[in-house]
Amino acid sequence: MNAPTPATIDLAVFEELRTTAGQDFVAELIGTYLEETPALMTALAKAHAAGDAAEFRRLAHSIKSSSSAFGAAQLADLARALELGGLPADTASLTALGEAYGRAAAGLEELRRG
Amino acid sequence: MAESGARILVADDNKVNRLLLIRSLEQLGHRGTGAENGRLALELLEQQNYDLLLLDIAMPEMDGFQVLQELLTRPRLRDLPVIVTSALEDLASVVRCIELGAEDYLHKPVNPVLLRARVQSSLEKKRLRDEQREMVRRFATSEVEQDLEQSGFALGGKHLTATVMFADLCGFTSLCEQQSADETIELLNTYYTLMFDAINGQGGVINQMIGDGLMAIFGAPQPLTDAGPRAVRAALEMIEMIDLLNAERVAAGRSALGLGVGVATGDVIAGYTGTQRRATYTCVGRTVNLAARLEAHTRIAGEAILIDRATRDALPADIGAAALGEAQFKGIAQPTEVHAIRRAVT
Repeated sequence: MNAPTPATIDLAVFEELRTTAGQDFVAELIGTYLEETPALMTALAKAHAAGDAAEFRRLAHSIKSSSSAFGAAQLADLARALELGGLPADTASLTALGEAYGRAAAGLEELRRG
Repeated sequence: MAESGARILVADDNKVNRLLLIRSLEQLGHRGTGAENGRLALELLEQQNYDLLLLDIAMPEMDGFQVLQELLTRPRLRDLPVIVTSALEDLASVVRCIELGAEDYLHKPVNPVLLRARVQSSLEKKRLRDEQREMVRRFATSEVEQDLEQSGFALGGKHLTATVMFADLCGFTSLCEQQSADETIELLNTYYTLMFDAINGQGGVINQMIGDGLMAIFGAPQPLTDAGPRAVRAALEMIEMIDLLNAERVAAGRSALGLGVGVATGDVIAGYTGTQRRATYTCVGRTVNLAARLEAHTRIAGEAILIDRATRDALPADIGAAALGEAQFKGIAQPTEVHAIRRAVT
């Protein structure tokens, strides 16, 4: 696996989190994030399919805020664009979000091990 | 420390955010409990005693706005201090939270240094309030107590004319990241002391702290002659203080701070939060919204102090104002005349 690039995880933010919250705690918190976020992604896709703009915005907002806590900047930016942009016409941006999550998750796994 | 071991409820639907906030609170020596939506938070608040609520806004079942509204209707919970922690980005939401009685607002991801400062300040204010109420209960006759409650010392009490000021430090969050926690706390203390001196010196009352910003009222709860000019003089002093602080900072190799101030005069709805109501003095309405918009507009206009027409019309000849034309603000139907204050007065 490749080392996480700065675009995937902002290492300054991540290190700051690790320093303030503690290494063991952050390792657990990554576990929670990896458990919780796929369900949020699924719910986001469902809200999109159902045309539920309010729920879509809330879920995108939620993904944005927990992702930015880890410095997953690229993912947080994509989630933010969905939060502020309203229901997208197609699923291209959801696919991009899923891919960004995949990269962020891999990066965080790597950081957790390292 | 007086604030150690406080019981704090964290309402946030996102588990990562919830755990992280509880962790930060525990590291400060407090006990944190989580609730995953507004409805569950209210249930816990009814069942147990908490000293403070950290409240997210975007939550399923019952959002943060609804929780704030509910708290106002419940006598036992009206006094509970609330700090809103949210990643919502629009000023309107912040203003709405404050209008609904939130004590403070912290943007997510929450900076641990700001969290510590704001939690301590909220707990200290709650302690003073509790003491004050206990004093009234113990020493005041029932007539005095009744009078306090009846003489407009209630929310939604009075329409009056006042001048409202919003001030905000620019670039503070990035500054927090560049310096140590001790330096940040020291800077915050210096900043607040300077701002309090300038505002109180002109007869204004600070009634809200919003992260690194603040809201002050001139002309309420006590009537004040020349409320508008006094607010503008306070704003000029604040800018002057920041300039002096910046001179020191730059000499010490640190970055300069920017301060934006918005001032508006007009009708406000104000009520004192006395023996029964929550928090301190509360002030809402179009004028409050306008002052907040003017403050936000300082960054767009590249000016330090912006005021509305009503404030400008009341200015004496020794304070000059430059007309910047009209601007369209969110939540205000008519275009608003904007004036900038540039010249320091002696």
